[in-house]
Amino acid sequence: MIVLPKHFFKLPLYWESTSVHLVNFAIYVFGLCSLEFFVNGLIHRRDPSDFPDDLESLHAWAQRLIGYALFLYSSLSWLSADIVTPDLCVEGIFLLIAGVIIRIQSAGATWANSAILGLLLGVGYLTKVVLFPLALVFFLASAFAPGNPRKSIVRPR
Amino acid sequence: MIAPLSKTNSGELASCPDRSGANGSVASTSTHNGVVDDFSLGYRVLFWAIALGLGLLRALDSRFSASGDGRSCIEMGDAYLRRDTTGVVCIPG
Repeated sequence: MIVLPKHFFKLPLYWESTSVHLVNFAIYVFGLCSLEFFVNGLIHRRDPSDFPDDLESLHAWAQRLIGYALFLYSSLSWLSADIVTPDLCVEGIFLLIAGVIIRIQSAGATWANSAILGLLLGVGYLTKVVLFPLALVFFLASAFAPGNPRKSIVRPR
Repeated sequence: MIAPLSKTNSGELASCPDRSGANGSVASTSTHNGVVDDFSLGYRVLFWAIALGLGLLRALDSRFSASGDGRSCIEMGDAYLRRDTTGVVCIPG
């Protein structure tokens, strides 16, 4: 993906590094969108009145603030947009997968959710191999997310 | 523009007062699923503007630099487009 602009626009060697970093920035924007998807799912996953009185949960604005701060720190300091590696893309896909699992938890497994989860795991494996063993963890998480694993099995109508 | 700070409506959250934002620290306009103590749209836009600005600055600041892993990734991408299968099989780092 990082070399596609160079080949499509026939860029000279001088602009190769700049185009690669712009693609990396586009992946960073994708990560931002993934973060918004994940945080929205986390905040709206259930009605707050469902929480027992003795269970204190974080305010929605606090969850969002923590998510934003951790994303900025990890993206700009740990992953660093100036290093050309697939890590930013992995972070974005990881957040998308977590967002889908949260939606499976709140709304139950549907064909769409399951298909998107499988697609994301496949794309994640192509992005970086570490997501292959993690796929097993995500499968187990999605199976137990609705509480009863039977609810996570999508049956034909 | 950024919404002004104001107290949130805790009417729906009477059974869970800790989530009501009663100290008035953060305002919200979101009422989806009863979540009324979320950031307003203005604060989210502000975060996006800061995040995009910082990311663009980092990308432009380092536009002529590439790490060892980055060079390996570029060469693997070139090999993939050339359909050079032996060049694709490379483990960066």
